[in-house]
Amino acid sequence: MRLVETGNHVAAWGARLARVEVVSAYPITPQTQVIEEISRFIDEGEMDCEYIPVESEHSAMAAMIASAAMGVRSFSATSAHGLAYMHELLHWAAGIRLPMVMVNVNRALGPGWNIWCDHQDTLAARDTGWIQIHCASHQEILDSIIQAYRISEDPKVNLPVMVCYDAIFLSHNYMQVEVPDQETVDRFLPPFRSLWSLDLEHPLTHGSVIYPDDYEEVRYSMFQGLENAREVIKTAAEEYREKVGGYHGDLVDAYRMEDADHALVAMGSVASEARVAVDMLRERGYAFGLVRVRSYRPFPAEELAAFLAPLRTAMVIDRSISFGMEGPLFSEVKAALYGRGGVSVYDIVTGLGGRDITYELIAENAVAAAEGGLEPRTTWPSVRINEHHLLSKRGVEGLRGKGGAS
Amino acid sequence: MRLKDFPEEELFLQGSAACQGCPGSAAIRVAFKALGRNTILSVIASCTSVFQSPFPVSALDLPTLNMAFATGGATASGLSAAADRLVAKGVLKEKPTILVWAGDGGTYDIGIQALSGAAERNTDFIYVCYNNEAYSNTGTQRSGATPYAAWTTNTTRGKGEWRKDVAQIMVAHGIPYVATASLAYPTDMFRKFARAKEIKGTRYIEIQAPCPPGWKFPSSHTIKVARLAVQSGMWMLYEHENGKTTYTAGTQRIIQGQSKLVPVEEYLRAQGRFGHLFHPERDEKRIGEIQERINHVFETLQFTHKMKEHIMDIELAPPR
Amino acid sequence: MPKRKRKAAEEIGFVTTLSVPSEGSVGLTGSWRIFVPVLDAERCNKCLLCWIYCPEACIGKDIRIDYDYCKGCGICAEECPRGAITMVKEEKKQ
Ligand SMILES: Cc1ncc(C[n+]2csc(CCOP(=O)(O)OP(=O)(O)O)c2C)c(N)n1
Ligand code: SF4
Ligand code: SF4
Ligand code: SF4
Ligand SMILES: [Mg+2]
Repeated sequence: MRLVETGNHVAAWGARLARVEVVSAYPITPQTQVIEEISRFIDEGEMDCEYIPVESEHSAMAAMIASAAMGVRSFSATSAHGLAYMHELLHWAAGIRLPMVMVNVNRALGPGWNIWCDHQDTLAARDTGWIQIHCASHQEILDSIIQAYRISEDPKVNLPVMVCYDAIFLSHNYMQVEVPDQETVDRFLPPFRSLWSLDLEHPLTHGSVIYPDDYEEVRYSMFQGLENAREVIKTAAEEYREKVGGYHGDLVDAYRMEDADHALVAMGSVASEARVAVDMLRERGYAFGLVRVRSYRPFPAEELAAFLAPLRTAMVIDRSISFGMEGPLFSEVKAALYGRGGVSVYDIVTGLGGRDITYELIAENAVAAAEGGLEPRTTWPSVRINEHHLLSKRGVEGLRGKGGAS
Repeated sequence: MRLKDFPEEELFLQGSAACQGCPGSAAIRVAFKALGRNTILSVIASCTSVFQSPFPVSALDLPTLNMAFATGGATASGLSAAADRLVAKGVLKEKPTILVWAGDGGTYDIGIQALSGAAERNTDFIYVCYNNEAYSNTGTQRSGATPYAAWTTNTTRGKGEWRKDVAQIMVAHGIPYVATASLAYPTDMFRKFARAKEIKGTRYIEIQAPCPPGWKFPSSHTIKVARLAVQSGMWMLYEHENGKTTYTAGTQRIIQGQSKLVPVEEYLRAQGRFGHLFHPERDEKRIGEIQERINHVFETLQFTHKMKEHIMDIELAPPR
Repeated sequence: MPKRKRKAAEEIGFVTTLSVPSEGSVGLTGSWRIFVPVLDAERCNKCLLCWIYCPEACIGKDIRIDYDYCKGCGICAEECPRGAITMVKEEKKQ
């Protein structure tokens, strides 16, 4: 079936086709349409599922952990402040070693309410033990959610998966998607399985006090789960292509990298602009390609190194910032390349809070990078003070003049 | 139900990490006996997280999910929704009782939002607050349930505020069942759990839990202090169902005039946490304030009771 | 690309914080006792109050005290309406 839908409605379709049985979620722009559509599916009898209208994201995640612990396929959706609000339980969800999938619509964080695209929210959740898949298209959202359950429920993994996509660009814009039929999806995704559950006949206690002598192994097992996920993500992508159709790369997605001398590295919807920029740069005589990081955790260090190490230049596009350091994707790309090849790595931080990243901006900076005209550290090419900032600054000066702030 | 009819099976296994005279384990024993094996338990961060004993063994013989501090209500919603699915699919023949076990900190303070949410959704579960009137797990800091004038490690001269009353807040949620219980009245407590088990929807039971190290009394006095709390009117026993509050056990006897209120001083003196009200000198003001509040509540209740004996249909809201 | 010389750690598979219900989950808690409850069976009327009040489930319905686990809190002695239980100083075994 072909649909023209918003990314959010497509995500709801993903949950529906994955035969999710419990959904617990709390509304936040720009995620709301996901849960509205799921409610509608349930109300109209199209989805056999319990929907828990929790009173906060902290509770959304708690309820999801609990339903997963009962052995039922569970789903949630959130964004930005919601993800931050449930942070404590993101750790709990991974630590409990149960499969579950949540969608996060990548959005900026306050203060200054900004509902537009930004990756700060998911990057701040990076070290919680979740697998993170970042999508670049509506079709990829749908396919990734279904794949996410396969990955999450794989006995070698048993960890939660966060499927991330960009606010507005993907969440709210309409695009055409191919929706597979249920039987096809069922052939790819077996019924729910997990390594343990709350069982009345076999009572076990999860999560009590644990001492230093025992704790490290629990964390190491999680670490290994994420390591195992590398292979499982690849297999899931391949098998999905075979049984359902549709392929968006595995840990990474490459564009025109076969004969590239230089590369752009990006995550999320900006890949579309980056592709245009690559084509443009090629026309201007710069052999650029694009490597899109699809799996941020586990991080595709080997794959990136294989692509980038032989090149002359790599320019990372970061849609978030690690304050006091640099663009986080930049840090990780450099870490992946440590001790390999002589590629020069550059970084632009841009597109925060939904600001457009134009292909011209990308191309301009890429040329500068290729020509050695860009500083080899994080730069902020789109920062500029405008009239609004000036008006606000004058206001602050007035306050200081009154002795109100010093 | 008489004691001899209580089930013999222990679902709280001996040799746990609980302190000597722990009210939490004492309460759990009675609750588990009343609810039985077909129960899924979630323990919220509290002393119970610790006294169930550390990994890889457990004193809890029920499938148990330990959860973060603020999650009680929400966890129940997830467990219950999933259990409904399992029943619908025929994986479970019968829906198990969903039981959340939390302290007063996890109930009155950090967890009240999740609890209120679950109650508003009328999630099908029993929420138990074992109320030891402080954060015992972290070393006895004040909570919203700590009574006026009680010492804690961060109210060293006695708490300056009066406690709130979450049981009444739960009554205001209009849930199907709310009850309070006391360790000193095990048959009353057992009956309330058994009643709660029969009902669908959100049920709230709060058990006063005198804690020897936190309240500073000898471990042998847990039950004695619990009894004094009821006899002095500091803790009231009732259940609320179908819009009607029924006082029970010791509280009922005081209201109906079969026994007299014990002066609160006797209760206060039994615990070191109120020691500063008596040493180095007697704090008439604060002792008086506490007694006065109790008197006011019971005078109203006794009056209402007498009125009711004469005029059958008068229904007054329970005083707070 | 340099080959990994040593494995980071052994393969340990799935390890999570699941605990098994067990008696004596912190060992024989009888060793905590300073005073020990002693029953005078003659006086006992089997009212079962000590059975239900014991926080550690150390008294059976037959009013037998399990000294392996009894922590010596003294509640049973305090609450026995017949004065059938007395707390006496524990003679520590070697
Ligand atoms: C979010 C969070 N904040 C603080 C804590 C620390 N903490 C654990 S238990 C506890 C107090 C529990 O008090 P209560 O609920 O009354 O249970 P009790 O220990 O008295 O049995 C606190 C503050 C925590 N676990 N999580
Ligand atoms: S501090 Fe109090 S509630 Fe906590 S384990 Fe000890 S006796 Fe029980
Ligand atoms: S409380 Fe006393 S009388 Fe009652 S059963 Fe126990 S020992 Fe016997
Ligand atoms: S002393 Fe305490 S632990 Fe020992 S049997 Fe009596 S009540 Fe139980
Ligand atoms: Mg407490």
